Amino acid sequence: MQNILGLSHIVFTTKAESIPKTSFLGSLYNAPEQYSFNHQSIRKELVRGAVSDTQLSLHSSIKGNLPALEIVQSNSKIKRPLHEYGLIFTPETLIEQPTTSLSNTINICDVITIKKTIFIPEIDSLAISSSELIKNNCDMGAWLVVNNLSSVKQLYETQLNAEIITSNQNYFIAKTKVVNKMFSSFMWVIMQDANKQNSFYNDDIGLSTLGWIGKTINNNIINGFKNTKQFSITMNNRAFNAKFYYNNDFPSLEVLTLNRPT
Amino acid sequence: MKNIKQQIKTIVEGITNQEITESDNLLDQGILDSLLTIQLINDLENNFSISIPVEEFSHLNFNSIKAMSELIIKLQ
Repeated sequence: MQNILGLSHIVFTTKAESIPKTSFLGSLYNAPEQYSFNHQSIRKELVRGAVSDTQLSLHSSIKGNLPALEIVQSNSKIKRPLHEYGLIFTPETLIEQPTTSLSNTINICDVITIKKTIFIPEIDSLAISSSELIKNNCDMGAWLVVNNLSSVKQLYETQLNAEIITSNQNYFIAKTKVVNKMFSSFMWVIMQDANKQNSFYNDDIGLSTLGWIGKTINNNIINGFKNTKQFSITMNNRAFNAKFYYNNDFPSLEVLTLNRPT
Repeated sequence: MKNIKQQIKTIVEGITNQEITESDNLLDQGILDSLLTIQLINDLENNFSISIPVEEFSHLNFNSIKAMSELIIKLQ
């Protein structure tokens, strides 16, 4: 059992070449802080291509009600299918954004009502808006397609401290806390697709990692996941211990604990 | 209640390295941020021998000494 307190950040891997800038992320997130990490011994287990230093930009929520977004650059030519994951915002958040023609490729509309679908170039991913967030008292959410729904549901229930809102054999909706100023809630829509393609790595383009703050780092392997060695990381003058859990099917999980000065 | 508030004040001041008052809105004023609040939750649990469930993590419960003292009394 992990002692997870809440979601802290979501990592998107993007192409290393110039990323188109839009005003959308800037309306929700502060100007990014840039970091470079040399964790090659840890990272080599997680990536498909050559290991290099991690270059990332960290976007923190302006209102303190969203999880942080981490954007990591990669040279990978492998892209996670756009219809298999995405972010969910309230209808008001996307009201000014242009609709994308890719909306007919996603099947989340079978689960919740979608008001709008947009493409966010900075994270090379889709986002939708839905009133389901408001109904469940959440400020933001994400959808993921998995090929092993029951084990992912077990992951959320037993390891990620999630509250399951509704579930059946095709999907479940859950919510977790976010470690931010507002301690807001984040909604997850997880859908079953037995034909989903497997084997993605952290350097493949798209949603690659879900970051969580825990009380402690559990050295026991989460069912179905491998784990890296524990490592240390410092961001914004805060020291953390961290560990990745990964299975190349679900996004990898990065669990961080505060490393307090003694 | 007064004793609990004083203990919370001491803990918060230890974490933030600044003097605070009972009327401060700790999160709104930026005295606490999310990670300092996580430290605070850990210290409150240890100091008061309580376990604060994730459902109680909210801006409202940790924005003031009064709110935290009410939460602790509820959980004791």
